[in-house]
Amino acid sequence: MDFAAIGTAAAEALTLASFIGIGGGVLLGYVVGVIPGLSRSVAISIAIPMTFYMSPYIAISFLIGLSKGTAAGSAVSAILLNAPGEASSAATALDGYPMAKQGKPKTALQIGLIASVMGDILATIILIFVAIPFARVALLFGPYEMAAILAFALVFIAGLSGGNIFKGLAAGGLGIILGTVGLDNQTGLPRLTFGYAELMDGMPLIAVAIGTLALSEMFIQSEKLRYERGTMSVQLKKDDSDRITWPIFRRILPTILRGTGVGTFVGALPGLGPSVGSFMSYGMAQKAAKEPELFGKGEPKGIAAAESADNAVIPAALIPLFGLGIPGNVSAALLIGAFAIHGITVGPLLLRDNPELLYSIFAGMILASVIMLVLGWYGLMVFAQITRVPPHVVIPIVIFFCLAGMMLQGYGTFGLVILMGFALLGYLMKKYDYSFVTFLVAFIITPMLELNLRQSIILSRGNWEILLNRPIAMIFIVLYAGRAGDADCAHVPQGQAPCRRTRCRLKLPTEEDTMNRRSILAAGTALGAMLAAPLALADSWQPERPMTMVIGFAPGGSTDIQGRVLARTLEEYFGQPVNVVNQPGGGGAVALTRFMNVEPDGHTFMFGVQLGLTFSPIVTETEYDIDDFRYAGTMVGGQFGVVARGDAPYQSFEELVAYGQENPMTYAQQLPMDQAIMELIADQEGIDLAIVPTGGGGGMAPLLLGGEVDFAFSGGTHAQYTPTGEMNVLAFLTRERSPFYPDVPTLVELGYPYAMDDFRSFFLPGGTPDEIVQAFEDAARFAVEHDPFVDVTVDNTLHPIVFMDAAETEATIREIRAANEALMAD
Amino acid sequence: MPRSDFWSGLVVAALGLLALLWVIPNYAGSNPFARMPPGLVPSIGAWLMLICGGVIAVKGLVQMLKARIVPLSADLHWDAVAWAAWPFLYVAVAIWFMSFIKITWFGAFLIAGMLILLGERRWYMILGCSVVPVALLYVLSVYLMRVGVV
Repeated sequence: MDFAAIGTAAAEALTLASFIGIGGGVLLGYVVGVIPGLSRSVAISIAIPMTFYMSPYIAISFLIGLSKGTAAGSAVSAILLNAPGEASSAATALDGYPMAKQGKPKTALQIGLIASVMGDILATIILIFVAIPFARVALLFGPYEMAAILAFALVFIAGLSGGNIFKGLAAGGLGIILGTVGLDNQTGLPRLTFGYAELMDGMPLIAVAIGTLALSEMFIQSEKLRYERGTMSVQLKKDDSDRITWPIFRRILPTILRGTGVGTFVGALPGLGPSVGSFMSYGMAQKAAKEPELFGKGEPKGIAAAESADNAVIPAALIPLFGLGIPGNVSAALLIGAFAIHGITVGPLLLRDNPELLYSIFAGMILASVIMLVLGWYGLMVFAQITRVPPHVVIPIVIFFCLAGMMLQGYGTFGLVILMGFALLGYLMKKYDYSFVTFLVAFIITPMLELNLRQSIILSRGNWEILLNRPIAMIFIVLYAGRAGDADCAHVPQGQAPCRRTRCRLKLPTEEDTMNRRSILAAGTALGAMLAAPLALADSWQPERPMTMVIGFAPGGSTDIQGRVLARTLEEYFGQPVNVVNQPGGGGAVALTRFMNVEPDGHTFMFGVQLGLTFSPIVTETEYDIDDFRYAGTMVGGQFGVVARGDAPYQSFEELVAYGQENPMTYAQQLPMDQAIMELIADQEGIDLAIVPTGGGGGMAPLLLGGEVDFAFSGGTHAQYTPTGEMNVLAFLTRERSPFYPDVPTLVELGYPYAMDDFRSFFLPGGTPDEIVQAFEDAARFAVEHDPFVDVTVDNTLHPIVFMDAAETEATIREIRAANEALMAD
Repeated sequence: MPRSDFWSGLVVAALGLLALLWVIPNYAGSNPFARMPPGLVPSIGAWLMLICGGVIAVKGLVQMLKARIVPLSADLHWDAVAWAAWPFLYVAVAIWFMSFIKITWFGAFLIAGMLILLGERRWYMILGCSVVPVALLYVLSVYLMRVGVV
């Protein structure tokens, strides 16, 4: 331990600026968390631009405080309105709402707050002492272990269905089916989407949670008004007994400690989220209780279990982040973006290179927990007043916030229809006593379970004996079998079919390499453009009101980070505020589908990758095509690569091929295109290759670093790991070498005629006048010379600056689309 | 209860059957080379629904036979059905409206209309309860989230 650094950190944490920053973060998080549908990831993405002018320590502590405040705030609406602020608070509502209805809202809120703060502080302490030295333990949990844990969690929580086990299992069956909606993670083909691009990313979780819990509850409450008019569904009496007492605290303390353990364990494993933690903790508390039948009827232990685990996940998710640079969940991924904006690379080198900052953040986290307790304790007295409002007033307002929450998330009318559908489903499930808890848990867990199960089957190559070498997985399988027996649940068989790999016979069209026309950081041209830009703007189109930038990917990724900085660049260029809206799904296809109908007046535009145009229409029927948009300039190039661990026995692609000709190999794919290319090469070189699907770059890193796969595709994730030597780029799939890895060849240079390219450009709706397209082209010229944008793109996300004008951008999109169509024809 | 179990079990089993016979074969996609076909996991869910729905329906039927309850009842309270249904229709119409008008612009009318239908008659309550949440939404979306009016 570096005690000098710890002393400096403690001093910085106790400054006034620190109190204001962290306190502001917690308060804002509390307010956002109370509104149904606004999750902590939304809160962080809202707040990231606010941190641009803060010091790195204050900025990160502010965001962590915000994250903690959101988690605590979401419990307030879950307890008082049965409308969880986010999905992970759904477990809190199971007992919190009944307790509030019984006239104990303050007690319920206080139990939730104390469990939150205790879970949070204990998990933070664990983070401080184990983050760096023990983070690698998380890598021992590969797909086998994760599949076993998730199967255990599913069966465990199915036991919560209470009453009729068949109704619980039937509800779970429906949750499983709906949980599989979206792009299949191995083939990349749409599954159960019925042709809707909006469903390519799956059913929106928040619509499912709000629909089945909050909106359906409002419909039930309004129905009750017919018979119980004048009575209040949740009452707040002047009752001195409505507070947490020492006997209650003593009773829930073991539950809090258990919940903290569960939350820390779940949070430390990359990929599992707070919802899994809170429901798992709730299930364990019910199982351990002497009177399990009290759960769901206002049992204090139910609130304590869910809240302690939910809040313990937040610091625990930072264990793999600080220890390995791997984000444990969406919020942690967003924090990586925030770190990048402030010029900090998270990972094992953070302690070596910047110990004061790391310890300052730890100190800030403890301070945030204390502030959360104080704010929450006095704030809940205010929040509890909500219960004084009669139900006929609460119902319309909650319905309004449910609908508004979906609109704020950017789901549009389609999302509202989904919300309404799940409200009807939740209403019927409650009416006919089908367990909506089992339904929700099955819905949340199924995608993760399927992915890990599939990875396990592929990696084991059908050999179950491999489990003998995986004791952790074996333990959970034994527990799972035990629980399945207890619950009389049918063990789900895993069907397998012998694998024959796809044989592709495709080659990239031999076109002249148009990239020669492009300039990477062509300083002279761009400098001229920059000087000319203000002059040109004087005569060109100018926006008349605030603008909206649509990004077709979730917050936190490299596209989002670049987009948010680009928004500030454009504010400077156009002189109007630029708001950023994330509409993730289908590699940008969801955003493009919505975007094609916006007014072509230049005030709404897209920034993002071209995959939604060059790839998505090939694998699914989309409502749009290339001709439906106008293209106004490219600013960033892609860097798709093939990566291996730094200590792998092959340091180049040629060595990998030679190794593969002697040994069976495993490859982690992310897109059907990179899978097809690797299968072609394996076929050509005689490599016995098993392809493992992953959930994107965040899923690839643990698999590769944990030694589960031999090599992998990377869309840019490697930028965090190559400086530390943990990853090695063997070859690029792009047609040109990356300027950041000039010694690494492309596949084309190695003699394989396959390539995949992607660029980040401005998109405008079809019918946009030429003068507006020209204005955006000029803005793109300005951006590639604007220091903040270039710094973040080049230094923090390691993407090359590539400028293309409008005509060249469109030509490139058409060219890449033709190449991809040829590649995917098989 | 036996009657509702019987009918709900039948509906669940029918949905499971529909998923197995039509939805999954037509919309789950296929990949003969995959070790785990894309339709496998949804099929497991559908089988669960079919089997469990069937068991629930049969148990409900047996209980009905024992208690001599007929599967259908003419004792339907249509006014109760209408009272239960109107909030759904109200929100459905609001969602349809939202495809034309932003919720911020008509949110106050949405809340006020429902308040009146639920029996609120005090003008200051209707005004305050309908305007304040919309104003909060406006501040949140325009000034905090900076996504503009939603």
